Amino acid sequence: MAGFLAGCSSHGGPSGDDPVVTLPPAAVTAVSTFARSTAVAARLDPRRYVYTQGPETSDFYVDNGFAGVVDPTGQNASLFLQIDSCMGNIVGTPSAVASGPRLIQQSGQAVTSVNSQVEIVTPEQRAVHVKEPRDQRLDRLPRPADTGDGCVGPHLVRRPGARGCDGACGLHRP
Amino acid sequence: MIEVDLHIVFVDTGRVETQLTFVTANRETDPALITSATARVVQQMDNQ
Repeated sequence: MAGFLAGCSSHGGPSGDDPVVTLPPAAVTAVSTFARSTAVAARLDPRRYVYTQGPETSDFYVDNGFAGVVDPTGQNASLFLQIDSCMGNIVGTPSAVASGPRLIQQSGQAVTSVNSQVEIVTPEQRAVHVKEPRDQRLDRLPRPADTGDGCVGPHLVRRPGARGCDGACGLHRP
Repeated sequence: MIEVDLHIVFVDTGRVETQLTFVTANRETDPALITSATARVVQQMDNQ
Protein backbone atom coordinates (compact mmCIF):
# COMPACT_ATOMS: atom_id res chain seq x y z
CA MET A 1 0.00 0.00 0.00
CA ALA A 2 1.24 3.42 -0.82
CA GLY A 3 2.77 5.39 1.92
CA PHE A 4 0.99 8.66 2.37
CA LEU A 5 -1.85 10.93 1.49
CA ALA A 6 -0.91 13.41 -1.14
CA GLY A 7 -3.87 15.74 -1.38
CA CYS A 8 -7.53 16.31 -1.79
CA SER A 9 -10.12 18.66 -3.08
CA SER A 10 -13.83 18.97 -3.29
CA HIS A 11 -16.97 20.77 -4.26
CA GLY A 12 -17.22 23.17 -7.07
CA GLY A 13 -13.65 24.12 -7.79
CA PRO A 14 -10.04 23.78 -6.82
CA SER A 15 -10.10 26.68 -4.39
CA GLY A 16 -12.25 27.70 -1.47
CA ASP A 17 -12.43 25.97 1.85
CA ASP A 18 -11.38 22.58 0.65
CA PRO A 19 -9.13 20.77 3.07
CA VAL A 20 -5.56 20.22 2.18
CA VAL A 21 -3.60 17.70 4.15
CA THR A 22 -0.34 19.03 5.48
CA LEU A 23 2.53 16.67 4.99
CA PRO A 24 6.16 16.57 5.90
CA PRO A 25 7.93 18.27 2.99
CA ALA A 26 9.84 15.18 1.97
CA ALA A 27 6.65 13.17 1.76
CA VAL A 28 4.89 15.25 -0.86
CA THR A 29 4.98 13.61 -4.22
CA ALA A 30 2.01 15.23 -5.86
CA VAL A 31 -1.22 16.92 -5.07
CA SER A 32 -4.29 16.31 -7.09
CA THR A 33 -7.00 18.90 -6.92
CA PHE A 34 -9.99 18.99 -9.11
CA ALA A 35 -13.73 19.02 -8.96
CA ARG A 36 -16.27 18.50 -11.66
CA SER A 37 -19.76 19.50 -12.48
CA THR A 38 -21.38 17.15 -14.89
CA ALA A 39 -24.76 16.04 -16.01
CA VAL A 40 -27.44 14.53 -13.89
CA ALA A 41 -26.79 10.95 -12.99
CA ALA A 42 -29.84 8.99 -12.06
CA ARG A 43 -27.75 6.31 -10.43
CA LEU A 44 -24.06 6.52 -9.89
CA ASP A 45 -22.19 3.36 -10.76
CA PRO A 46 -18.68 3.56 -9.32
CA ARG A 47 -17.38 1.04 -11.86
CA ARG A 48 -17.73 3.69 -14.53
CA TYR A 49 -15.18 5.95 -12.90
CA VAL A 50 -12.30 3.68 -11.97
CA TYR A 51 -8.93 4.29 -13.54
CA THR A 52 -8.30 2.19 -16.63
CA GLN A 53 -5.23 1.77 -18.74
CA GLY A 54 -4.15 4.91 -20.54
CA PRO A 55 -1.18 6.23 -22.49
CA GLU A 56 0.79 6.74 -19.29
CA THR A 57 0.36 3.06 -18.42
CA SER A 58 0.28 1.58 -21.90
CA ASP A 59 3.21 -0.71 -21.11
CA PHE A 60 1.76 -1.83 -17.78
CA TYR A 61 0.34 -5.30 -17.24
CA VAL A 62 -3.38 -5.21 -16.41
CA ASP A 63 -4.56 -7.38 -13.55
CA ASN A 64 -8.34 -7.46 -13.34
CA GLY A 65 -8.35 -9.86 -10.42
CA PHE A 66 -9.62 -7.32 -7.93
CA ALA A 67 -11.57 -5.08 -10.28
CA GLY A 68 -15.29 -4.67 -9.85
CA VAL A 69 -17.88 -3.94 -7.22
CA VAL A 70 -16.66 -3.94 -3.63
CA ASP A 71 -18.77 -4.61 -0.56
CA PRO A 72 -19.17 -1.09 0.87
CA THR A 73 -19.31 -2.50 4.40
CA GLY A 74 -15.95 -4.21 4.10
CA GLN A 75 -13.10 -3.00 6.24
CA ASN A 76 -11.02 -1.98 3.25
CA ALA A 77 -13.88 -0.63 1.18
CA SER A 78 -13.14 2.97 1.94
CA LEU A 79 -10.26 5.06 3.13
CA PHE A 80 -12.69 7.04 5.24
CA LEU A 81 -14.32 4.05 6.88
CA GLN A 82 -11.10 3.43 8.70
CA ILE A 83 -10.57 7.05 9.64
CA ASP A 84 -14.23 7.44 10.68
CA SER A 85 -13.98 4.43 12.92
CA CYS A 86 -10.80 5.49 14.60
CA MET A 87 -12.01 9.02 15.18
CA GLY A 88 -15.41 7.98 16.46
CA ASN A 89 -17.33 9.53 13.59
CA ILE A 90 -20.23 7.22 12.86
CA VAL A 91 -21.53 8.29 9.48
CA GLY A 92 -22.13 4.95 7.81
CA THR A 93 -20.67 3.21 4.85
CA PRO A 94 -20.48 4.47 1.27
CA SER A 95 -23.48 3.86 -0.95
CA ALA A 96 -21.36 1.97 -3.43
CA VAL A 97 -17.71 1.14 -3.97
CA ALA A 98 -15.74 -0.26 -6.88
CA SER A 99 -12.10 -1.07 -7.49
CA GLY A 100 -10.33 -0.63 -10.76
CA PRO A 101 -7.82 -2.97 -12.31
CA ARG A 102 -4.32 -3.07 -10.95
CA LEU A 103 -1.79 -1.89 -13.50
CA ILE A 104 1.70 -3.20 -12.92
CA GLN A 105 5.03 -2.43 -14.47
CA GLN A 106 8.24 -4.21 -13.62
CA SER A 107 11.51 -2.67 -14.68
CA GLY A 108 14.44 -4.55 -13.27
CA GLN A 109 14.03 -4.57 -9.51
CA ALA A 110 11.50 -1.76 -9.57
CA VAL A 111 7.80 -2.56 -9.56
CA THR A 112 5.19 0.14 -10.02
CA SER A 113 1.51 -0.44 -9.39
CA VAL A 114 -1.36 1.93 -10.18
CA ASN A 115 -4.65 1.23 -8.45
CA SER A 116 -7.96 3.04 -8.13
CA GLN A 117 -11.02 2.92 -5.96
CA VAL A 118 -14.24 4.84 -6.40
CA GLU A 119 -16.81 5.38 -3.70
CA ILE A 120 -20.17 7.11 -3.64
CA VAL A 121 -21.03 8.93 -0.43
CA THR A 122 -23.82 11.12 0.88
CA PRO A 123 -23.49 14.87 1.44
CA GLU A 124 -23.58 14.21 5.18
CA GLN A 125 -20.67 11.80 4.96
CA ARG A 126 -18.74 14.25 2.87
CA ALA A 127 -19.28 16.97 5.44
CA VAL A 128 -17.58 14.82 8.05
CA HIS A 129 -14.83 13.60 5.77
CA VAL A 130 -13.65 17.04 4.73
CA LYS A 131 -13.16 17.96 8.37
CA GLU A 132 -11.27 14.89 9.43
CA PRO A 133 -7.89 15.75 7.90
CA ARG A 134 -7.91 18.93 10.01
CA ASP A 135 -8.53 17.06 13.24
CA GLN A 136 -5.51 17.43 15.45
CA ARG A 137 -5.93 13.87 16.66
CA LEU A 138 -4.87 12.77 13.22
CA ASP A 139 -1.47 13.79 14.31
CA ARG A 140 0.62 12.60 11.46
CA LEU A 141 0.52 10.70 8.26
CA PRO A 142 2.68 7.70 7.58
CA ARG A 143 5.95 7.64 5.84
CA PRO A 144 7.05 4.78 3.62
CA ALA A 145 8.98 3.24 6.48
CA ASP A 146 5.73 2.87 8.39
CA THR A 147 4.01 0.65 5.89
CA GLY A 148 3.62 -3.01 6.53
CA ASP A 149 3.37 -2.64 10.27
CA GLY A 150 -0.07 -4.19 10.57
CA CYS A 151 -1.97 -0.96 11.03
CA VAL A 152 -5.73 -1.09 10.70
CA GLY A 153 -5.68 1.71 8.18
CA PRO A 154 -3.15 1.69 5.38
CA HIS A 155 -2.69 5.42 5.68
CA LEU A 156 -2.45 5.59 9.42
CA VAL A 157 0.26 4.62 11.80
CA ARG A 158 0.55 2.39 14.81
CA ARG A 159 2.13 3.98 17.80
CA PRO A 160 4.76 1.84 19.44
CA GLY A 161 3.33 0.14 22.48
CA ALA A 162 -0.10 1.66 22.02
CA ARG A 163 -3.24 -0.40 22.46
CA GLY A 164 -6.71 -0.12 21.05
CA CYS A 165 -8.01 1.96 18.23
CA ASP A 166 -6.12 5.11 19.06
CA GLY A 167 -2.83 3.34 18.85
CA ALA A 168 -3.72 1.26 15.87
CA CYS A 169 -4.72 4.35 13.97
CA GLY A 170 -2.03 6.68 15.09
CA LEU A 171 -4.49 8.98 16.80
CA HIS A 172 -4.03 10.68 20.12
CA ARG A 173 -6.34 12.46 22.47
CA PRO A 174 -5.82 16.23 22.55
CA MET B 1 7.18 -1.50 -4.75
CA ILE B 2 5.93 1.88 -5.89
CA GLU B 3 2.19 2.21 -5.59
CA VAL B 4 -0.08 4.93 -6.84
CA ASP B 5 -3.58 4.71 -5.39
CA LEU B 6 -6.30 6.91 -6.83
CA HIS B 7 -9.19 7.37 -4.39
CA ILE B 8 -12.12 8.87 -6.22
CA VAL B 9 -15.12 9.94 -4.16
CA PHE B 10 -18.42 11.15 -5.53
CA VAL B 11 -21.04 12.81 -3.41
CA ASP B 12 -24.45 11.66 -4.49
CA THR B 13 -26.67 14.70 -4.42
CA GLY B 14 -28.74 13.62 -7.38
CA ARG B 15 -26.20 15.32 -9.57
CA VAL B 16 -22.58 14.40 -10.08
CA GLU B 17 -21.45 17.75 -8.87
CA THR B 18 -18.91 17.10 -6.21
CA GLN B 19 -15.84 15.01 -6.12
CA LEU B 20 -13.11 14.36 -3.66
CA THR B 21 -9.94 12.90 -4.97
CA PHE B 22 -7.03 11.61 -3.00
CA VAL B 23 -3.85 10.35 -4.46
CA THR B 24 -1.50 8.33 -2.35
CA ALA B 25 1.93 7.48 -3.58
CA ASN B 26 5.39 6.61 -2.47
CA ARG B 27 7.82 9.46 -2.53
CA GLU B 28 9.80 7.67 -5.24
CA THR B 29 6.85 7.80 -7.59
CA ASP B 30 7.32 9.70 -10.82
CA PRO B 31 5.12 12.80 -10.45
CA ALA B 32 4.38 12.67 -14.16
CA LEU B 33 2.71 9.30 -13.71
CA ILE B 34 0.48 10.65 -10.98
CA THR B 35 -0.42 13.71 -13.00
CA SER B 36 -1.21 11.72 -16.11
CA ALA B 37 -3.18 9.06 -14.30
CA THR B 38 -5.21 11.68 -12.46
CA ALA B 39 -5.88 13.54 -15.67
CA ARG B 40 -7.12 10.33 -17.22
CA VAL B 41 -9.61 9.84 -14.40
CA VAL B 42 -10.98 13.29 -15.17
CA GLN B 43 -11.08 12.52 -18.86
CA GLN B 44 -12.96 9.30 -18.26
CA MET B 45 -15.48 11.13 -16.17
CA ASP B 46 -15.98 13.74 -18.84
CA ASN B 47 -16.65 10.99 -21.33
CA GLN B 48 -19.46 9.49 -19.27
